[in-house]
Amino acid sequence: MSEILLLILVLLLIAVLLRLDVVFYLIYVLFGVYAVSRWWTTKGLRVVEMERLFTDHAFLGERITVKLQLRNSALLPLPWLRLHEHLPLDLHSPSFLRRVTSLGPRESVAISYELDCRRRGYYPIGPLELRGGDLFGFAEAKSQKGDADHLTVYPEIIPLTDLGLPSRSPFGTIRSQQRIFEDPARTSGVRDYRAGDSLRHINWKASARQESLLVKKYEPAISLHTAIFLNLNRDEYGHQQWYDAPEWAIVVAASIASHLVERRQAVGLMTNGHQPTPEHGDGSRGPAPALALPPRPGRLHLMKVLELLARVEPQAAEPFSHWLQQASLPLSWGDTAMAITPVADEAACRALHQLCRRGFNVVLIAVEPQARFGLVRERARRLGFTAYEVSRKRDLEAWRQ
Amino acid sequence: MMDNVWNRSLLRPITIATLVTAFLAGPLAVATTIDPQWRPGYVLVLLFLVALEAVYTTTWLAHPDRRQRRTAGFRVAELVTWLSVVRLLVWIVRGSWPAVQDLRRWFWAPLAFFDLEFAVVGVLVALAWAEGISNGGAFQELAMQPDELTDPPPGYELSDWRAPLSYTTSRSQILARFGQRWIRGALILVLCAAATQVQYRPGAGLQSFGIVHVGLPALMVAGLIVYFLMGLGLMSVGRLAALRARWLLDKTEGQEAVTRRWPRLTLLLLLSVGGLAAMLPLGSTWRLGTWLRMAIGFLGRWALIIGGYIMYWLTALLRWLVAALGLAQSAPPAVKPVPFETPQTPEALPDAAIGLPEWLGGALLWLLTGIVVVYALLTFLRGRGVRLEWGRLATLWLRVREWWHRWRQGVQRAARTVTDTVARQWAGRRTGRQEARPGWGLLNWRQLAPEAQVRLLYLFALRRAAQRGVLRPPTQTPYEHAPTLEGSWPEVQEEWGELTQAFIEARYSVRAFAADEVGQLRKLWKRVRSALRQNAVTGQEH
Repeated sequence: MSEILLLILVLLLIAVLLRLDVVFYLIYVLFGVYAVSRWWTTKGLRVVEMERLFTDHAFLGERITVKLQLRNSALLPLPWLRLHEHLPLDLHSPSFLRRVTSLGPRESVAISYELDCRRRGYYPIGPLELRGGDLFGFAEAKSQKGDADHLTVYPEIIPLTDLGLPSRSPFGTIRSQQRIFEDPARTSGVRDYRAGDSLRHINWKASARQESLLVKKYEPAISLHTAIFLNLNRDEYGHQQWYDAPEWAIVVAASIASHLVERRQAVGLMTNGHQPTPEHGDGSRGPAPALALPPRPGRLHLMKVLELLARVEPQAAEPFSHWLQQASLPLSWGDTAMAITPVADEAACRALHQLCRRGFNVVLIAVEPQARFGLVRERARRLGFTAYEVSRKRDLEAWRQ
Repeated sequence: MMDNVWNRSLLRPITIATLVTAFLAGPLAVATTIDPQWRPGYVLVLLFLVALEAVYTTTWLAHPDRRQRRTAGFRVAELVTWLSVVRLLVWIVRGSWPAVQDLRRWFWAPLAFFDLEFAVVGVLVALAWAEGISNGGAFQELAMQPDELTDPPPGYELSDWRAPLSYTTSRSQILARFGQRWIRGALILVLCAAATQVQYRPGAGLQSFGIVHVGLPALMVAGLIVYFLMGLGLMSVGRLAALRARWLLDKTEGQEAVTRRWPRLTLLLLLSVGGLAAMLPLGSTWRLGTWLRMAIGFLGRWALIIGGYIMYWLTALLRWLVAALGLAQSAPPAVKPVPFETPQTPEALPDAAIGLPEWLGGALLWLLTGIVVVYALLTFLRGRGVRLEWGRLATLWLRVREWWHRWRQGVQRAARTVTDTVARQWAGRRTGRQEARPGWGLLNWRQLAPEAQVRLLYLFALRRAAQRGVLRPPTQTPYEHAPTLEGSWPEVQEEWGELTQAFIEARYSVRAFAADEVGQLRKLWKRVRSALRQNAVTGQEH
């Protein structure tokens, strides 16, 4: 619109030379409109305040409503504002939201849209790009409002009623079929005292009532803690399963963790995957989040496990058999080590055998279909651990009892 | 499918019509300044109506169902209609309905039909009509086009569908073109305002035209302000249309709130800035204006001085170069002065010295005008996408020539038919004693009836007398004219009397003449003819 400035200049020359007062008035009007339009277009976007309101954690299949609150904090109106909200394609199609609105003086506008949580992940919501302009087309400006917020979509959880995991630990919360260890916190009745019974196990009230020594009977129990070792080394997944199998492994891990927490058992998660670090507004990234959560009980810890499982992505890493030895160091004797890996090759079996020898209860879950998994199972049995193939949802369903 | 929201808007046509009227108020104010007696109040209303109709018709023709009517003929008919209305309106306003004499005068001098007021108002109306069409067309292009609004074909989702032709409309460019046009109009209007300030002072030499500062006419001031405000308003409307189309094509939701609030905000901004500007000091009371004028004058003087110096040094350098290269001619040898003799001016220039015919200047003027008009037409047509190729022009020329030949042959045939018909009718009047001789046409007067021959003999004699200077006034009867003829040629006094008497009887009585009587009269006429010839010779001698 340099023509307007040229017109103003020519009018000024004519007005000065011919002393036409009315032309001065027209110059004032033109220049005023032009200056106000240009100034307010650039300034107006700066005074817009934006707030994005939404629940930043969601389970798979949920629909999340995001509310964008825009407020013009100035006394001048904004004739038009075009909003362009960047959105992940997994949650919204198309991968953006475009709206146009107008903001009066000190006016607020709320714009809502929904996100369909169809896939687990850690998604950036935004940033919001604003584009505005004047009424005459003299100027246009754009700006970015705030940083991107993030939405965590937890992985799918398939409810399992019973995993039937064995344990050699004396303290557990799940009954053991082997009845080797008893849990003093879970009494099942009383019996007559026998020589060698600990005095701490005597039920004094019942003994007084029966006038003979009676000791408490305890239910058998499995391990105290379970650590899930999730193999997300991309190189160990088959090329045809590059996308589905890691996702399936994550679903299996989340389902097992959820099931164990429901049974009030402590669960930990260790993975060799990659977790994206959130980016700050200035472009810097925060510290890399931990990829290992030691076993802890409770739903709060389960949410941490699920959040990690929501964020983690496969990556090219060191072989699972090497990483497993390092990752299992913090575990205590008797803990259950559940390895979720695409295939159970010989190296993995040997690494799991080492865990067995260190006193862990080891369970192997292979998530990629294998033609000769029977041989793997037999090898695992000989090496002292149990192997399962859970390559389909149906296989996981079979664990329900 | 049409953009009904846009097409049914009343604000846009009214704003365009107001803008066009304000633009033409400038020339109107100049015309009023030239002739202060003229009261052009009705012209403003007329211009507004013409522009409004032009915008409306442009919008109306944009509908796909009316594409057959989008022809130049339709538009020309529209303009001719308006010019006819103007002609009637000027007669009504001035109360000078044409009389019968005026109709006869227009027949002989067609240009008399175009009096000055009609010419001025007609030109203004044509301009308003053209401006209305142009601006209306530009804003019609800003509307959503049918191909952009069409539903997606089967198999396309609405969110994915975008008409392929949508990319061809660049609304930003259309708006920029309108902006440039508006700016040009603003400059013209300001120049018109300056022209209303020019005062002619006869006999003042080069300073005949001076700027007076008596204030602009109210019409001019109103035209300027309205033109600028309406132009800004239209740019705002165009901007909204461009944004609206962009949002619609991008499937951006929520434009209703913007569209609803847009006119109000535009009006508010213009009123605020206009009100604020009204409170600022104007040019004559503005010190900065004086400073600017002084600065411009100072810069102008220095530019002239510097330009003069540059020219001086360039000339000196050129002269030095010429001298250095030896291109300068040696001074001519001294010539013995010859005594100066004053040339003898001829008393009258001979005809051969004038040489050029008087019509040559006018012919050259019309030739130049024709070339300019043809060039303008070619430029206009080329701008509208019409390409004139020499092959087509040659074909057109051949067709025109063929048509001309056909037309000429047809005229000749018609003339022959008329001649034959008249000849047959004359031949049918002859008496039975004189049969028509085949091969003789209308010019053989001897084949006529005896009465007609008698009348012709008298008329022939009268014509020869008139050629000798004895004219018969239209108010004189043959009897009244006879003494004049007899006095002019007394030697054939009796012959004149007999010829006159025979003519009266052949023309006004039922008497039938015999052939020998006609022969006798022919002898009389021959004597008269010879007398007239002799008298003509003596007349020249006198």
